[in-house]
Amino acid sequence: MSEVRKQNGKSGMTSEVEKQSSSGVSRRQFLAGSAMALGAAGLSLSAPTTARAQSDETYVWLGAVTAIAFWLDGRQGFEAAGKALGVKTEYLGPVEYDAVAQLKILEELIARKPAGIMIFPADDQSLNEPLKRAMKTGIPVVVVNHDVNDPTARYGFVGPDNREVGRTGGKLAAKMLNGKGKVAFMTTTNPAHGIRVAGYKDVFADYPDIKIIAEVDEKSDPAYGLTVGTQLIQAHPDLDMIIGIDATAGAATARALKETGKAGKIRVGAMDRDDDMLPYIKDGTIEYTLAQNSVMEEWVALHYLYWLKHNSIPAFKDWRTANAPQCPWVTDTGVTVVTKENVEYFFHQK
Amino acid sequence: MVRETSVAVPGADGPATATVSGTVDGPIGSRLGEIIVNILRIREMAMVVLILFTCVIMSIFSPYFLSLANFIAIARGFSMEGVVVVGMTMLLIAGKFDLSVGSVMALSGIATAWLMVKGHMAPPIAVLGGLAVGAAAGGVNGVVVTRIGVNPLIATLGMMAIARGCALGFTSGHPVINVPMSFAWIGQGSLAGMPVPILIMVVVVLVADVLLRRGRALRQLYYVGGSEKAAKLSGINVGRVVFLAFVASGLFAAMAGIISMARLTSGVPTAFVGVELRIIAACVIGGASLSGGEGTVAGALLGLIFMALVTNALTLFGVSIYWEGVVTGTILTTAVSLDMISRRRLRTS
Amino acid sequence: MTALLKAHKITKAFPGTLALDQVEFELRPGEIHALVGENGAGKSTLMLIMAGVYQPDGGELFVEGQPVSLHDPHHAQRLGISTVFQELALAPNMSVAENVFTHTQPVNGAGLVRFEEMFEATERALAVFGIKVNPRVPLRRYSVAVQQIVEIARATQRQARALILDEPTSAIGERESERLSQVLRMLRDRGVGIIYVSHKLDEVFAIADRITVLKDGKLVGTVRTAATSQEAVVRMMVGRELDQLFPPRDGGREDTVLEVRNLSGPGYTNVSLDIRSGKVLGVFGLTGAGRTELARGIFGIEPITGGEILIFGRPVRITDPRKAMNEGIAYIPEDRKQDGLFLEMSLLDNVAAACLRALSGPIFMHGSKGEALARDAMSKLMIKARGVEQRVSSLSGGNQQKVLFAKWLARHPKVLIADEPTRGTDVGAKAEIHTLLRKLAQEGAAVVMISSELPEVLGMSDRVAVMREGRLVALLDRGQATEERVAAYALGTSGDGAAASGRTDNE
Repeated sequence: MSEVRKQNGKSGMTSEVEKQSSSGVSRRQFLAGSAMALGAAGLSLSAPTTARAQSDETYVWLGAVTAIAFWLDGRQGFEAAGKALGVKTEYLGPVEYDAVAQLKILEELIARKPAGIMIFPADDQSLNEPLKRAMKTGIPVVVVNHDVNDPTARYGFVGPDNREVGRTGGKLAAKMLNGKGKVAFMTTTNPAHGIRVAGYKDVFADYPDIKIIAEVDEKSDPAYGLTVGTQLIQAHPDLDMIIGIDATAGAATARALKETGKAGKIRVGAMDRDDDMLPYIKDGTIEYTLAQNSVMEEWVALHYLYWLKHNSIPAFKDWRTANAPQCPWVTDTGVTVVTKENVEYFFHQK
Repeated sequence: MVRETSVAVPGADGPATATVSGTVDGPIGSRLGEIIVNILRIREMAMVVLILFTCVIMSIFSPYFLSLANFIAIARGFSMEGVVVVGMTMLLIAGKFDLSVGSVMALSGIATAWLMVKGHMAPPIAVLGGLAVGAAAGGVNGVVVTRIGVNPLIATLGMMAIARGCALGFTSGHPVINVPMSFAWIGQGSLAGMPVPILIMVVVVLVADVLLRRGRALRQLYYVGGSEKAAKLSGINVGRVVFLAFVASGLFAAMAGIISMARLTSGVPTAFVGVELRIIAACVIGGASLSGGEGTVAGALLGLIFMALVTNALTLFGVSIYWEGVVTGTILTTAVSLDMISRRRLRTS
Repeated sequence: MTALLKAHKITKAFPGTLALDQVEFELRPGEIHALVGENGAGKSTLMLIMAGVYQPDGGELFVEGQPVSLHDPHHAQRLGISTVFQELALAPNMSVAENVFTHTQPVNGAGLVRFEEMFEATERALAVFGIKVNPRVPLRRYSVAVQQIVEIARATQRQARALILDEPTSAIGERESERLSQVLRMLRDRGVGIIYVSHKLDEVFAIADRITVLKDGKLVGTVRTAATSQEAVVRMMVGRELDQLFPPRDGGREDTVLEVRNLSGPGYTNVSLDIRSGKVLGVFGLTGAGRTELARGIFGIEPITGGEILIFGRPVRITDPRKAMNEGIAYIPEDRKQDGLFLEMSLLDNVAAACLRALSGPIFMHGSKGEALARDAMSKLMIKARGVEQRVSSLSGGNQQKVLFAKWLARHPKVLIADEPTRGTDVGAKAEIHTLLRKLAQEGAAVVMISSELPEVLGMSDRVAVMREGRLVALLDRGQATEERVAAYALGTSGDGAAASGRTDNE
């Protein structure tokens, strides 16, 4: 499962998503399956696989909660970029949201000296020191999707600005509500989700008639989310809008509304582009979702690593001696607003 | 949970004798009194009182609490878990438990959805397939525990990871969608105004409760939980009883997973994380003991209802999501503590 | 006449020992056949093979002339062989009735248990033994004595053709034993064959028609009870004459070590007693007379409600066993399985358990000290074990009892209270424990021996305290203590004697 070369890599994000070949999917399914089998054997910790003979340079993406569907888009961008650049790519990390396991894998990874490390940190703080050490030994580091809390622990960050994601959603919601109404959030205790809620609140602060009357934890579990979503609707029958902050909340809310016969009466905003949520956009239960540009995120991040490794940007003979990392400090990949109009392009499977 | 045996039996002779005469000749010596005590089982009555008390409190503070719609919403919420507690209660009575139920729910739901969507099978056959997956997972747990002698903690923790891994592996983490709408009736439909999942739960719970109280076959679980060695010497096939209890646990988890899948109209591989601990907690609140020999399905269901009310209260009262754990943890521990204290009183009085 | 149950050339080996070596045994219908032998003689193994718990390595079993191989206890039951195990095979969490009807509960057409019918049947079954209990309540509320009877009732109500009883009277009082004998004779007269395993030769001679003696895994012989004597059977069992059953009573220095004044607590009232060094004080009484409760009160397990305890004339407050231990009191409980031993731990761990502090440095245990202590105990007390690391659960009953003694002796107690120290041990181990108790007295300890066996009390004690209904009714010197007198005090005068024993778990 060390590296994947796509047979028919195409450039352009939209077409990638759109024309994902079925063989590609099943191949990835198989790979993910074997990764999981390993993970299960080690009780949820997938050990890093040993690299093949180092004929080519290998770029490694160290993730967390690696098996969920959300990362498939990112992996597609990552692998496509590897193919475009002619390098090997490797994806690994713990199956759980496990910072300790991730740290352990990172330590082993540094000892292996890959060409570059791309990382989605399971924790803001604990990886700073080893990442700095990795950079000191000459391994470029780029953080994706969620930043570490010490910006000097990486050369660049690529991903959405969650505060800005929240604000984008806030503006949409405020417009739909005509600046007036009762709103509730379905969220979790994950810090990134808290930042998105804060972004929404930034915008709602300008609308005194928009009242936030509840914030409930749906624990990123579709079944539990359905239960608390239903209870939320029962407890506050006068709600005007429910905003889902993570990938599961939107679908859970839509199902709760359908079960209680309130679909269409309470507006719903959602996040990300899970396949079981998109149909509710199609049928109008959900007004919008904010889809992260994951394919782009990892495509860009791998290019940064490659440029750093190869001194591609011709500002210096070697940026290392000048101590001037040639890589954007922060790259905001933003979100794409998905509504009934464009939803059909965002389905992964038919 | 410490089993009370060691506390309850003071000496080899003496005080126990007093208990004997007290029970036979005491004020509740009458036939009617005894029947009432035995049928209501003071233990479960305490839970009923606690639940009613919680309801009163909540109806005072929220105008929306006391409505049929809200009760149905709450019941719909725990109807799947209500099926899973049946299997877990059986295991706990036998002195075992199963940590893999959440993962098995996810896997069975996915298996059923996959058989319908990708395998184009008729729903009844797909359901049988999903149930078979659950029974197989339970069977493996049972074999590993009874034949190889692995502790249930490790055996079912392993199965928890394996079943979850299979669910994620076969789907790459994607939910299985496009489940036929005709099938969704099991999870979303109603019969005579009552949602189908609630009806299924009521039937399963009633049958299981009666069989555990009075059925000869299921009473064996109590013997095994009381003393495994004694059960063996009494001629009970302990290995088979425990094995079948694990299979039952897997089957009920699969059943709940399939109903959930119908309700979500998609098989979600990441769903039901942490359900196992909620289920075990409900059983213990309802009177089961982690050391075996005690517990009823009715009690476990009451425990589940109590926990659902607590969740409902969080939503109604708008408790901060970051402090939720403190509130629920405190309430649950207090509930079980009160119950323990009241039971000790009853015994000594 | 075909034998009900026949063992032919039965051989069974365990790692390190040959438990049974080509043993022959035969049970006829309508006889009570006693199986006796010292611990380790193999009678338990033979019994467990006939009960279906163990499978023999060699030889054959016949049930009514048909060769069988019993897979498990259930199989044996189906063939009409019911067993009362010495270790109670009961579910304490379940009702009395469900323990009598383990899986023979009466059911209706739907397979549901008819509880009322079962409760009535249970009351009837237990009434045969002269006890009245509530069949609805959990068994754990009743004493060990009632539990033992429940287990016997379970075996008898199964309508077995062959009944095996292993030490059935080890936990029950005299009256229940008497009832049991009646029930067994009644069953015998109906043609049931009964195997009766016991250490109590008096009992064996009172009830058995034939006696089979095993020694070291081999058959010594089967004799008709009418044609032999207790002495002859003892000779067969031990292979030597036990000319003197009890050790001579020369005591050490006599001082009052512990004194209780007007002590009251749950199960006993107003007891005044002095316990002297160098002497053995025997405490006799029927089951439920308050002997164990008194000991538990002195040792601080149950709180006392009145009176005082003095040690060397100094009043002390003993609120928990730790305090009692610090005052030099040791208590060896009656139910060693439940209260005294860590069965799944090693001999070494058990011996060291009561004096961990003495065996430890500031942080770590001194492995060598503990081992020396355990080795010393093994040789002094003649504990038969493979080594100090052997699990206690795999030792015989007598040896387990010795481990329990060793645990307390390691603390060099000033007062040793032993509750039924020889229950469930064989003749040889019994003598060894008696010798040990006497030796402790000679070394200056004050020994209190609680016992239900009158010969033991009379043979061992320098003084005998008799308890009845929670009161100390007599304190007799050795010269005054005769069998008749002690028994009369224990039962009360003839008129209220029934009332006295009536407290024995009967109502």
